[in-house]
Amino acid sequence: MSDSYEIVMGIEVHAELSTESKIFCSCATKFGKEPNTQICPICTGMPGTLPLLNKKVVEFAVKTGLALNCSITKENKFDRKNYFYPDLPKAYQISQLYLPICRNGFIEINSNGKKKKIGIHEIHMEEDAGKLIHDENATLIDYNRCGVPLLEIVSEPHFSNGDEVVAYLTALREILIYIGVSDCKMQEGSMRADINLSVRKRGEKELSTRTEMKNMSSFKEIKRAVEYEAERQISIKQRGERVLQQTIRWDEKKGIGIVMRSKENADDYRYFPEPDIMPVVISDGEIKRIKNLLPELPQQKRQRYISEFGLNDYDASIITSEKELCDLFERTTALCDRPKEVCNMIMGELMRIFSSLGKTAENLNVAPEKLASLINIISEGKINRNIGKDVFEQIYFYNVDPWEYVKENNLLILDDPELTEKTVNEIISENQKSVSDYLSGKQKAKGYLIGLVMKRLKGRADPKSVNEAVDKKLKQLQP
Amino acid sequence: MSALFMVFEQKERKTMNDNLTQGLSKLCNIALTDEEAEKMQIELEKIIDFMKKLAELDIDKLSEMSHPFEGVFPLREDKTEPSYSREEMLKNAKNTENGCYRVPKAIKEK
Amino acid sequence: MKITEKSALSLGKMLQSREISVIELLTEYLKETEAKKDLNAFITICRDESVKRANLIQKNIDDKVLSSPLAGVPMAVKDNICTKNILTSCASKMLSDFKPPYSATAVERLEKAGAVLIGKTNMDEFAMGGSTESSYYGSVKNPTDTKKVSGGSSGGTAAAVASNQCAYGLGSDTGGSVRQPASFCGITGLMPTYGSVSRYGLIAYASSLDRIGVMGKNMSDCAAVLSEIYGSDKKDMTCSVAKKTDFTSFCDLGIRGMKIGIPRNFFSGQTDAFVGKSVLQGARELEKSGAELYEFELPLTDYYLPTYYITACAEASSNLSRYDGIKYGFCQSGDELEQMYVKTRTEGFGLEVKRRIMLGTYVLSSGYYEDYYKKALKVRRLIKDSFDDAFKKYDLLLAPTAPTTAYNIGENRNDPLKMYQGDIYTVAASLSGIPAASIPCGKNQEGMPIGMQLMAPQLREDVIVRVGCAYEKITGGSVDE
Repeated sequence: MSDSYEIVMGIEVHAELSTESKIFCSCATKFGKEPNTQICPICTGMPGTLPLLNKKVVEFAVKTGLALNCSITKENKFDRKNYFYPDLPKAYQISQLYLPICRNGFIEINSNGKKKKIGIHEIHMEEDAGKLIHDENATLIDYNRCGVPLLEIVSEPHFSNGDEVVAYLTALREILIYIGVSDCKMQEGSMRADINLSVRKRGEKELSTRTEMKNMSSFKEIKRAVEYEAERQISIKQRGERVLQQTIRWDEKKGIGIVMRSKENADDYRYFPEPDIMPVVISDGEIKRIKNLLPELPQQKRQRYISEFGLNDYDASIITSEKELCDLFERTTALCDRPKEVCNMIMGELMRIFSSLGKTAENLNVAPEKLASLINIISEGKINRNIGKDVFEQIYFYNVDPWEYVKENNLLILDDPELTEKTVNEIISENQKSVSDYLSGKQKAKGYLIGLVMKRLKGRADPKSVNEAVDKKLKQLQP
Repeated sequence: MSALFMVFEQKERKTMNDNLTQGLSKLCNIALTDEEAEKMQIELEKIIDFMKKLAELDIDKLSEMSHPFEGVFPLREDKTEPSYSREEMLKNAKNTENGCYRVPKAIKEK
Repeated sequence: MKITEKSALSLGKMLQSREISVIELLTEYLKETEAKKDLNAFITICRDESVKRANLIQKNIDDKVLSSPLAGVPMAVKDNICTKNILTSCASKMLSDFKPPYSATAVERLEKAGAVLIGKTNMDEFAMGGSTESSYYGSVKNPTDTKKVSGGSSGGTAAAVASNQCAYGLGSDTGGSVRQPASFCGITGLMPTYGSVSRYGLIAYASSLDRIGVMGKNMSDCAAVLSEIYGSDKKDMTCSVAKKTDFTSFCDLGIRGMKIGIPRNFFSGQTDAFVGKSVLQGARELEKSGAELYEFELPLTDYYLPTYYITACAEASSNLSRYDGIKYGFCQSGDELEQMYVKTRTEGFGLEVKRRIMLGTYVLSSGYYEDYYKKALKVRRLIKDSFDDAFKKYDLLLAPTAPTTAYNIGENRNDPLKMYQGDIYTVAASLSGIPAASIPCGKNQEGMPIGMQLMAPQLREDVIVRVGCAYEKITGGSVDE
């Protein structure tokens, strides 16, 4: 990529809200149902039907706006956006043009070690369209998705590279999941990002013609698409030609953008106030109530974990990246008051299980009470750390009670100096070769002997006293 | 001079409206025969001229009224109800296939 | 007096006292519909369904589980009001085979009260018109003079009530579509406050103006029907402020001391002299019964029609975009999607509908929105404010319903603007969201009926009912007297 050009990008994110019912009717919003089994006269725009605005959609929109530092519009109106397309049964989409529910917010991102504030221009509520299935010579329409509530979150054109885009989307996704308004599954289309991209010579003030890219199914593909499109536009400019204003569909198999035929009459949507929906007034009291519902956001949590619990930056960001991990960490810490131990158990044992099973924190089912009890048992020196790891696995897979499990399986630490001494003597007399190795200066041999003793004591011995006993014995044997 | 100006103005208006009728027909997905278009053109011009009367009023500072009355209106609780059966929904459609509504291919790519 | 000439309420009483059975009554009405086919008032006669229903209602009356004053009385419903599994065509080729899987809330409520649906009535296509000449099913003839129009757009219901083919009916009123045909056919038509009767199931023409209205032989009947359908509905967000009310209880309250305002400019040049005179004569009769009359000037009259047509056409252009041949209704296939859209809409809509869609598209399109649509929304506020001001001084406003009586079929068909001008006195109440009614007040030289319009503040239908009933008492207009 030529350094004499810079990229300017803005992002429009569409997030499906995780309400039970659709935005204007009582049909369910479940993903993956048989085509046209979650539809009714309202969401298919049958004559004589009227939209009935879902209260939860407004609440979720306000919640999102507050989490993204926006100002909230007190008197909300809906507008109709008119265009013909088979996925839009009324031939208009109920959206918000003139008075979007949230405005002027921001998100702070961290991209390649650099902090940056990304402006949120506005957030508005609207209805999703249906799904089109194209075959050889026809298009089939499934209206199940029609009327699923959407938030459109429009950023300012504050991005200059793909990493920033990914950092923004990661942060945004984290927040939306955290506050419980969307599950943001890109594969299922419940989070979709359109990228507006233009390039200009460094130092130029004017924005250049932009293209809009759609259909990227993951953050990885978004980054690829951004890089592809930036290079394409730069090479067009280098040839002295003009970039055309187009909508581009990203083809991930081929790794190229394909120019879409523009929607019919795309230029003139003839927006006007939706007469079927009365203005929705949001009072200060309501905003306050929703604010109180808002959980601590990932970034705030991260800071608090570092300052309050003394976690390092890395551990804090891993734990705060998933709501389930935060819950486990905070609730366990509240019970045992050993944040660092809790952190180590999550970062060590839990992550190890996740990576070996290829799992994520979704549906995590570890009881904080049990984890706290395990950490207490270890910290009080009642069992060995290594045995603690086994007990954790037992909790994870079989939901055992740690204390009972330790007792039933005789895993408590041995407090029996005589048995220790006797075992040390046995091991030493059985392993004369290692003893002479040690005596001739090979320090490693001592560790081997300690290991044998521990093994014979089934790991239950206190490593410190075993160490001391072996040391003492070896000293006696020194010439 | 002013007479000449008027001729141009009329010409300009005529072409604008010619395009307009075509544009409207496209925006509405309604085709008109030449004869219909010509008649429609004359009628629309007459009606639009009549509508221009609102320009006389000094209303810049007024707020718009998109609903004939005001008040606070209850919203729907987020609860689901059973959807209609697919059969019942598709019954009124002329072209269906595999439980879907069917139209001529909607996407064309360059 | 033939039984079909009686009022709905008196028929209801006869049914409750078993003077006549539901099926006997229905049979009489079905005979009328057969005999008066030529008026073209109906698009569909629900012969089989109504017979079945009549038997069921009779059983409920016999079992004493149904005692509503309208139980068993046959009604007609305009064909833009949805009736479950019964053709609801909007008098358009576009919906000429559309059987909705639901009924309008108003229809459901009336059926719960025991109404028997005798048929669906003819109308202007998508309720766009003032003469019922734009119907895909042909014009409706005026029962008084079959060379003349029945008015519109609820011309079918008006003609059906006037010619005794049903006891009462539902219409819809967007800019005068209940009141003007009531006036042309010599019956009573009542348009309630916007948002007081659910629009669920009323096929939209202009959403911020559309209302379901009641048409009957007299004001008491209209009050009884309104009482059944009035009040909030969870299926219509804009219908949530009105409370269920028994309007028949206002019929006998009289009008002593009531202040009636008469807007002078509603009697100006374009009002037919005979019409103006008759309406003023009607006002004098009310004065004799104790009302106080005040002439005054209502401003902005010249702006009513532009404001109305901009608003209504804009909303219509959007509301009617859904007719694309995909989900319901007429479909003319093409090889390409766009072809299908254009063919379906070009062949499916009639000329007046196309004209209003194009006008509405024009006033909303970029570059014109500010000059037309936005301005109209502002003037609409001015107009509403002017009515609010008038109602600070007067309880009721009285004016002609239409500037003329019914004209000849075909007379205005080629001049849309002239046709639109017939709405001059009805659109103001539509824009202001207030209730208004048309009651018969005499006939002209040719014997054509004249309508007097009564307008009241929002949610004050009771005032209209009181005045309407009082007037009928004075003039002996009530059919049962």
